[in-house]
Amino acid sequence: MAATRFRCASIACALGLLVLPARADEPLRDTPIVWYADDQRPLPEPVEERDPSLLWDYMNESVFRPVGYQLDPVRNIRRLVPGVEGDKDSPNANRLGEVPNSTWFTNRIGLFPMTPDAVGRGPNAHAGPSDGGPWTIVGAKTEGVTPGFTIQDATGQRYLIKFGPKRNPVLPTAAGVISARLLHAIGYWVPEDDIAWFRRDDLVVDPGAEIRMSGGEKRPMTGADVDAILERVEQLPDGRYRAISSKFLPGRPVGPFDYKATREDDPNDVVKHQHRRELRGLKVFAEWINHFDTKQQNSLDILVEEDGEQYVRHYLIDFASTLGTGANGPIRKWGWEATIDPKALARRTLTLGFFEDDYRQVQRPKGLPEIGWFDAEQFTPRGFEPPMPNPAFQRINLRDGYWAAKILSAFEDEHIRAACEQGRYRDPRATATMTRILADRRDAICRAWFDIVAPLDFFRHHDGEVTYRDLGHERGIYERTGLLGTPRYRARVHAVDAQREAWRRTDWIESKTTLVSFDTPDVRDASMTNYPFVHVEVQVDRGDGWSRSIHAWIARRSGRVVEVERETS
Amino acid sequence: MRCALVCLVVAIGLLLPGSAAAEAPADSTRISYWGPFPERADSVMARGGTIERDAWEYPVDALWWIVRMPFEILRGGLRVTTVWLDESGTLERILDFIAPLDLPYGFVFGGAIGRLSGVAGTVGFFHDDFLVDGGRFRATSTVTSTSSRRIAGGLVLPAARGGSIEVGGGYRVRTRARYFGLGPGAPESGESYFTRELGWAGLGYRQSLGAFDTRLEADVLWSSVTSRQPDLDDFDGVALSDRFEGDLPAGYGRESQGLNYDIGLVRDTTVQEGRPRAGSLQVLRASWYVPEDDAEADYVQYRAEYQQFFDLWWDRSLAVRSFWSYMDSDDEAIHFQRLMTNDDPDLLRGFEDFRWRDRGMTALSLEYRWPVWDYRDPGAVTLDAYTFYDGGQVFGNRREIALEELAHSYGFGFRLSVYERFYFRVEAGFSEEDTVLRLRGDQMFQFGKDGLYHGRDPIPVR
Repeated sequence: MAATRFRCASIACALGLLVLPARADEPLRDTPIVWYADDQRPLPEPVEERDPSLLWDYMNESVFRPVGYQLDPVRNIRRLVPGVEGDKDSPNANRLGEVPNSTWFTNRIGLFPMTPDAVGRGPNAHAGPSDGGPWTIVGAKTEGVTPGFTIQDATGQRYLIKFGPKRNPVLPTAAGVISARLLHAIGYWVPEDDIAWFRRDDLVVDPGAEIRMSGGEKRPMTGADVDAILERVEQLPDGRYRAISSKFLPGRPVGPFDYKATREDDPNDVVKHQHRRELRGLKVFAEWINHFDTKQQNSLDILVEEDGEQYVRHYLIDFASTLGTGANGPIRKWGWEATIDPKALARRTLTLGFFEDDYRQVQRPKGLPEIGWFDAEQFTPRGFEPPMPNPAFQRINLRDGYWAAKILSAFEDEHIRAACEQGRYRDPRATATMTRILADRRDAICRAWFDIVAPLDFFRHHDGEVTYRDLGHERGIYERTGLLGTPRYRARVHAVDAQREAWRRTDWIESKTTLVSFDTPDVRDASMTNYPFVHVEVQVDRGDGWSRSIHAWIARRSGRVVEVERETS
Repeated sequence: MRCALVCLVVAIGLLLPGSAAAEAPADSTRISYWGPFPERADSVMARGGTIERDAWEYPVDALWWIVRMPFEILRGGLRVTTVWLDESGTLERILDFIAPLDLPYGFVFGGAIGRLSGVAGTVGFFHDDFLVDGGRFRATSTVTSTSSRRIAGGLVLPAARGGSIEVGGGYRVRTRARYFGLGPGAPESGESYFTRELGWAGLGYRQSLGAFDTRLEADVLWSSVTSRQPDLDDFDGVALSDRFEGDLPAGYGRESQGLNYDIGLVRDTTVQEGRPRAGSLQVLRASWYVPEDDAEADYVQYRAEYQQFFDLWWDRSLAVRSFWSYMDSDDEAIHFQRLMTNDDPDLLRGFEDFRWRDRGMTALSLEYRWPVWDYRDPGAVTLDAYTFYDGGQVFGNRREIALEELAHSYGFGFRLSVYERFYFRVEAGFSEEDTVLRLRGDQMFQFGKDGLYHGRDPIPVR
């Protein structure tokens, strides 16, 4: 009997270890919100350059890491066992759920009004290489589908010049520039990409220039090499060539960043990349522009020097494989599912072909060869899968997705058009069509996320009143996606202590506006010492019932919004 | 004292996680949607951290590490090897060596697996610019794990007015050819084995008729077949001579040699080679066999074949194939090895090869195909799934053709094509008698323009 009891107790303890509740919330603190990450501390030693093998990366990211991730028992317990907290929040988000400015991300259109001109300008200080003198070629490559060379313009700036394939010269070059503008407006560090035109006579070969051949060996470059490269590129009737120019980033490149773990020799890199909100949320932006090529080789860490001190800044680069095209021309399937997706394979086999995949139903706009396999009609939000699984994308949770959708909703059609105009399509209808497609996809994505997390945001306190914004209504997301009508709001306000315990519970108060007053006896009469915070809980009803709550806590003394929590279940 | 206390408080504040400096003055220059947004110099900063783990995660994670340790070691070794292959340039040199060069000639490799033939490997050489412009040469050799072997070669030379001349020949030994008896009622229990030896050589002429995608085909083909006792060591089977003692099929143990004079009319409107989705192939052929030995029966064989590929919805296709073939002879006893049987390309895929044999054969095959995987774009590298039905019957005379005599089989499989070139199929066929698995590098539907050049065993010689 005693042995049995002992056995039962041991099993109960073991099970208890498995289903221990998540740790209690941190107490509220009336401290300033963190808006900057402290990740620019000078490096004690220079970081080493990373040069990961692309071949191993394909194998590792396509097979080993995804298998390990799917089989991870911790992950599966979180997903399947009731009562166990789901995926943890990103540790680099601040208490408002925002991402502080850092060497990874800078808040732009998500937090500040941005003019269409600013979106169109992007990070570019100048409109590509200077045309005030010849372009001196200092290096070139011939391997790969798209050849290119490195030039130094008359001002001494270096640019990487790349071309689209001869039969589709506009597609990848336009996509690269447009996507760079959009990602910059979102907040990522990106290079200054631009469409550039030049003539053969504008090019001179530096005597020290070398060309890297397909076998990897290098030799001195000649004018004939330039002609051979240009032979593979479309020449316009006026003799010019079209290319995408990418300005060399300031600093020393030290290789790409991995979407998992941290860079070991960078003491500023303390948050594991797969947990960073801006990298997880990148999945939403990647879905918007169909940026399927998010392998680590399309990122670049730069050792930046400021005032004699160095730190690493993290860039996203190379966006030619976006907006329905790859570097070699339109691509249909990538972005819809991983290269090897056993579930999709089994589904298609067992359904005997009687259901068609969405990606096979995508239509290219008639008469617009400058637009690839990219539309909004077949688009299903939250269905994006790059051909090579991305560790950060796999770990996106609902709050990460909402954060990204919130930023996305800040793009108005004029912003998108300004970015699309930088793609310099030959046919103005292409600019208009791409703008429409991106706008429609934006609406679909935002609607999908806002239906999960209520888009009641940007709480601000002034003189005993808290205002917040219904981003879904204010930004027209619901109206454009067919949900008309005026939303209703309701709120309840409690005075709470640092442990979030309320002094008195109150009832919901309905309103037609997004304004909440806590000049009420339930708050006024609460002891400021014992209950130094006010808890505001809000919901919205758009005609289909009340949404999940959004909680905001405001410090009574300072009036500061100290924390926001968004319910996802 | 007060100063010391303040310093102590500030020091404690610095040490607390999540804080880096004392509260910054509210000197902001920009207004965000949250309100005033401080400049960096005026802001509190944080280092960020890691996700705090729950207590239960540690033992679970430790167990997981123990379980996956062998795989991690394997993965580490694979990583080191792959990175070395990549960075040393070794992999690139290997790929350069085996990658197809931009040459008009090269080697091809293939294989198959079958219950009777075992594992088969094929190596071939081709030259697409042989002797003259448009001249093509091809030679293949196949060996199997059951000592069957085959060697064949062919040459195509262009002729005047869009025609072509084909010359080809081959030799084949099948160590486990099977015989069940004749007719649609041949019982399964009649399974027996013999070794079959076949040689052939021929000359053919192909002429496009310029209209309706038709061409005329004329061939003269010499062939020789013999049969002998099989080597059944390590194989559970009965020799034909034992099973049918006293009732041996016509020509068993005797050599059959003779000439076939063939003429055929072919209409081919198929669109693609690898995964045809539209078009048809229609064949009418007559062949007169004249044996060298007067004692052997001569015959005229008639064959009609029809293949149609229907382009259905959404890149699905339906392939239909039907043929009728009959040997007409005044003599009752045509050499048994020259009779029709369900062997390439006239398979009933739920039955083993050579299950049925007689003077005539008719069959219908239906195959529905749909894509289940694309590498990048539909039609580039595509894996299709398919289900099929094969139904057919052999017959001694036309009156024997009856629905109740039909042998039915069905199944499913996968076929891979790369840029419209078929590579292999793997399939499972089922019938009331058998389940047959096949891994093949050839097509079931012979829309390819095979002939002597491809070294195929010419129909109707078996």
